[in-house]
Amino acid sequence: MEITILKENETSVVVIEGRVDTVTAPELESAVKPLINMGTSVVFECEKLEYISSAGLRVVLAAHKQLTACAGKFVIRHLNREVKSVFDITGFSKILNIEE
Amino acid sequence: MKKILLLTLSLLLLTSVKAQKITFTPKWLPQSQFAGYYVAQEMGFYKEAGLDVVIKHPSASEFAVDCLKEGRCDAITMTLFDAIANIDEGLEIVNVLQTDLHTGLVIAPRSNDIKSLDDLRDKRVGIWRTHYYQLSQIVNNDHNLNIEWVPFVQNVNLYISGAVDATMAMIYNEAYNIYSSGFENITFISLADYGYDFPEEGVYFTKDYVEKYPDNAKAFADASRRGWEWAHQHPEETIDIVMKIIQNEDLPANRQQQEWMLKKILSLQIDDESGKPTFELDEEKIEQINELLLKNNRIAKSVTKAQIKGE
Amino acid sequence: MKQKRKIRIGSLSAQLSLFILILTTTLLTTIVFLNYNSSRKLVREESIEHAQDALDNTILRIDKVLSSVEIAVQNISLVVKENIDDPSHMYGVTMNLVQSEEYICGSAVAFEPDYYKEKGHFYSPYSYRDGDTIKSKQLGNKNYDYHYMDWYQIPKLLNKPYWSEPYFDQGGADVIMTTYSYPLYDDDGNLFAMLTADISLELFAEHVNAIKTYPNSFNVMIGHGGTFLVHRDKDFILNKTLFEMALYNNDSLTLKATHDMVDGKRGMVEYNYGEERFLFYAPIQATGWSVAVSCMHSDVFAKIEDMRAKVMSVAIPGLILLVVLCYILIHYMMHPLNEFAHSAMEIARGNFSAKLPHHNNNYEMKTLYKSFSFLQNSLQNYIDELQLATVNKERIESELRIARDIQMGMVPKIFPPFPEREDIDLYAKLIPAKEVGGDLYDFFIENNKLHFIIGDVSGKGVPASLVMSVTCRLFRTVASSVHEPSGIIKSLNDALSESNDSNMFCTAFVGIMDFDSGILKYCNAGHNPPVIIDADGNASFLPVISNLALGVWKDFNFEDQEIKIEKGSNIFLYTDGVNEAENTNKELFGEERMLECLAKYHSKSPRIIVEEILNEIKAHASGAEQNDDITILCCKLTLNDNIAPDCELVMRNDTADIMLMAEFIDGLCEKYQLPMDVGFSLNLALEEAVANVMKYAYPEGEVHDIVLSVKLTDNRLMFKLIDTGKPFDPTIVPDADVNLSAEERQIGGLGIFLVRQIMDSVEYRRIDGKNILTMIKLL
Repeated sequence: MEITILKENETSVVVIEGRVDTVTAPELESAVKPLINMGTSVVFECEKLEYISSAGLRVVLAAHKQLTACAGKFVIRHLNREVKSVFDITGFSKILNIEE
Repeated sequence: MKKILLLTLSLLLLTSVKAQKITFTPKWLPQSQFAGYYVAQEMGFYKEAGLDVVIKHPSASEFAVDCLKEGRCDAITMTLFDAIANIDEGLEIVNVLQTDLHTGLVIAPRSNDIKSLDDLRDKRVGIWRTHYYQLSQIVNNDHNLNIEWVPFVQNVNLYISGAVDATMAMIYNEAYNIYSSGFENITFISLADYGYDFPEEGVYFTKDYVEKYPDNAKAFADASRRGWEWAHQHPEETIDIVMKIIQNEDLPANRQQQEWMLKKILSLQIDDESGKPTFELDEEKIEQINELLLKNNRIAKSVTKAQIKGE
Repeated sequence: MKQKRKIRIGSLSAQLSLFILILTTTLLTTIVFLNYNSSRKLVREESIEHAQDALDNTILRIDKVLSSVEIAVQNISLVVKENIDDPSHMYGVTMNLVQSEEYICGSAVAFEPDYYKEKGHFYSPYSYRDGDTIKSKQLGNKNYDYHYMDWYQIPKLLNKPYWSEPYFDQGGADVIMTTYSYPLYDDDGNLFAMLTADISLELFAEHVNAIKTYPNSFNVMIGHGGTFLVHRDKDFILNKTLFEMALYNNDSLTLKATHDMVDGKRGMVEYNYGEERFLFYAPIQATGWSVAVSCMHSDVFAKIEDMRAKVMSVAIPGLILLVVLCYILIHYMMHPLNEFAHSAMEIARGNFSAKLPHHNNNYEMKTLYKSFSFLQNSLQNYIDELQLATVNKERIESELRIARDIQMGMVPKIFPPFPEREDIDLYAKLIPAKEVGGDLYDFFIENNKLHFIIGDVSGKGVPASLVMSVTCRLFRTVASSVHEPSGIIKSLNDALSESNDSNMFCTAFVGIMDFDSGILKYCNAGHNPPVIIDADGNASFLPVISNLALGVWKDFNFEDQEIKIEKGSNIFLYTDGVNEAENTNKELFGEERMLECLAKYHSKSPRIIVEEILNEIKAHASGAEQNDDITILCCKLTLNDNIAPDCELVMRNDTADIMLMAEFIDGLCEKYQLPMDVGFSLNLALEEAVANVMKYAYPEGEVHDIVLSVKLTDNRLMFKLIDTGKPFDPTIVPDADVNLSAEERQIGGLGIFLVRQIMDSVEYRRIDGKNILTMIKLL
């Protein structure tokens, strides 16, 4: 898994590449944590995200909860079909901002 | 001026001297039988030959030979048979042109029960008053027929009325009248079948005339022959000429009859071998006639071709 | 609504009019034709008569003249005989004769040659008219030998008086004469002279030409040889014969007629030398000549043709008028029919209250109207009833459909029913004959025992289905507490026997298969004995005591039976809808065939066995309607726990090994040709399961193995996750509620949720100190 953090204006874009599974999920968590501040806008760029398991989902959910709590913005972008279906099955599609 | 006068005078003299008058009396009344002569007249063949020909037909009861004998005409037509008989009797005539090579003599029976000469035994048979007396006698004698000859003058009423059992007829003349008088199914008995196929008509001048005017005689013969040859080539026009001549003489003219006659006459002129009219006298036939006449004591001695031809 | 007046060829008016036209025309034509023909005949006969009369008239007149001449001549002949010795007297005689008759223009007494020696050869005193005077002379001479003339010779030969053929007079042109010759005989019977009288044919011509019959007719007279003696064309006279003309024109009719004329007959002939003509002829007896009249056809039939033209000019317009009137009239009368047709269309479209045309003009229309009204009403009523019936029917049908669904819902339909168990494979099918049926089956596994039932309620349809549903429910309830098949049967029997007013019964077979011991306990209640097919394919009927069907006798004592089932055997249960399936010839499928089929497919899975049997039944039925419910239950007992997996992965309880598993799953995808999204899901599910075990199964710090095995059977991909850790059943963890909002969502529980979502079946078992989590994905 590769994580690249870009700055676009006021938004932090987290480009995730590869697999987010039980092993790599903690890495993502620690990468994301510093970005979450008051009123920050975070975007997960998932174009190259191949796979996400429940461990990764937990990280996403946590991020979402934290950002919402501090009036920040959280967007997930460019999920591929399979990954999106995971979000759908788990009902995450309904609670997250998912953009094409 | 003078010269012209002289010229015309001499021309007139020449022409007048040139045109020789010949009176020609055919054997009978005007009909296609003498078509050649009418053609020669009408088409100017005589004139071209320098002849001024008058065709004078005999009357119903006249004999052409009498006309010749009595000098009423210069030339006549005559059958070879009669010519030989006449020459034997001393008549001096010369044949300048032989037109018929065959005989057209037939016998028309009144019913087809009479089929041959033998059937004519003891019967009444019509015959021309003025012709063929010799031949008919010979036929009668040769076949022992004991015929009662009834002479007729000019038509076939004798036959139609039933007064005779049969009649002599010319294939080109009376035969047509018989055919078109309700006897169209009658079968004619042809004398040629019995060996009497003798050449018939020819043109005869007196020996005297021929000796005196040989050129005229020859010219007449040639022009007449020319007339006949023309008739062979132009039968339709020939009929027109004949019709005109007949009508000129105020006689009834039946075109169909004249057509029949011309056709038959022309056929009698055709030589069997060459299929063309030759206008030649057959020596053999002369011999045959002589034989027949001698046998039947009709002539004293044979008459040669030379005699006939005046050579 | 008024229809447009179009002239249709196919319309009744047109057809009738046409028919009338044809009929009338034919009739009229026939009448006219017959009339015309008979008129023509009449006219023809009339004209023939008319012409004949005219002819006869003329002939009479001619004959009169001729006979007066003959008589005069005969009278004079006596005078000749009296004065025979005085030759010169003959002049006076001839003169008298000429004077006596106005027609006689010449007369002669022609003597035989030298009758009077002194008179010579040609003595023939002759008198003739010359203007107003009568002159005399000698007729014959050398140049005119009368002895050979026709008028002398022919009567002489014929020995009778003779009218000569006409000839042109020598003296004058154009004057045609004929001579009557009267032969005179002496006492010895010899001819001595011919007494003649000449008459001009001009007067005959006058008489002949006086016959006027028709405008274009002309008259002729012909002589013995057919020679024209009188003719409008002067050139014909004495020049042509009628025979000639007939022969020239190849006219055999005229030829014959001419012969007839010459033979003295009377008659008629039709000829055409340019125009069509009639020729009427009659003879003049005295002379043997013939007079004829030639009339043009068109003259003769002029009146007839005129009449025909008149008739046509009336008939044809008349017929046209007739057709037109007929058409209009018929069309008018038929008009109501068009209206009726229109109303019928309206009614057909559903407008039952369409107005009918009411016409009173004739009985037929009135009747038609009454019938139509009645039809209209009947239709309306019928439609209403039909609608009602249809609604009812639909209601019943929909209720039946619901009933069927309910019924089908009662029997287990999910196959394979026990995917996690390798020791048993089961497949069943129920096909009711009608919407709802009386067959039933059921099964469940409890305490490692398979309880099953198959049954057949008497009858089919709704009544049977009601009993069936009762029985099904009862089985479930009873079987979980009663452990002997006979006990189950007895309970069912009691229930059914009670309040069995309709006397329905149910055959049934109950079995309990103990997987641990391999023994099948069973009890039969009047049902078809099941078939056992052993591992080698030998099919035989299970030995059963038939006992009694359920619901018949409440207190019946049912007996249990038991048998050992070997590994690999099939148990085949069925109802009589199978072996009694009929084809169109009412031939039964038969037990033989069933056994054959079972033996044939014994090695296949139960699903396939059942499908094949059903195919065979269908083939046998070949189109015949299914006459009974068909139920089949087939169960294969493998009795073999230890089925080798296809492949295995051994991991340590370290999350790092999840990578290994990811690779392992990629390999599986390749091996089994699984699509990408399946691989993804498998990855996800298995990761959750494995991660769980890795985290919680073993105590901290200890290294242990975790085994993941895979087996693919048919379309079942079975994963087994085996660890030797502490007992932990992940299936008891409740699912996460995915409908909670983000705030309400719990972190935990997602993993197992995903596993359950992705996998088709998740089962946990603790066997021999091992946690075995069996996950099955159906491909």
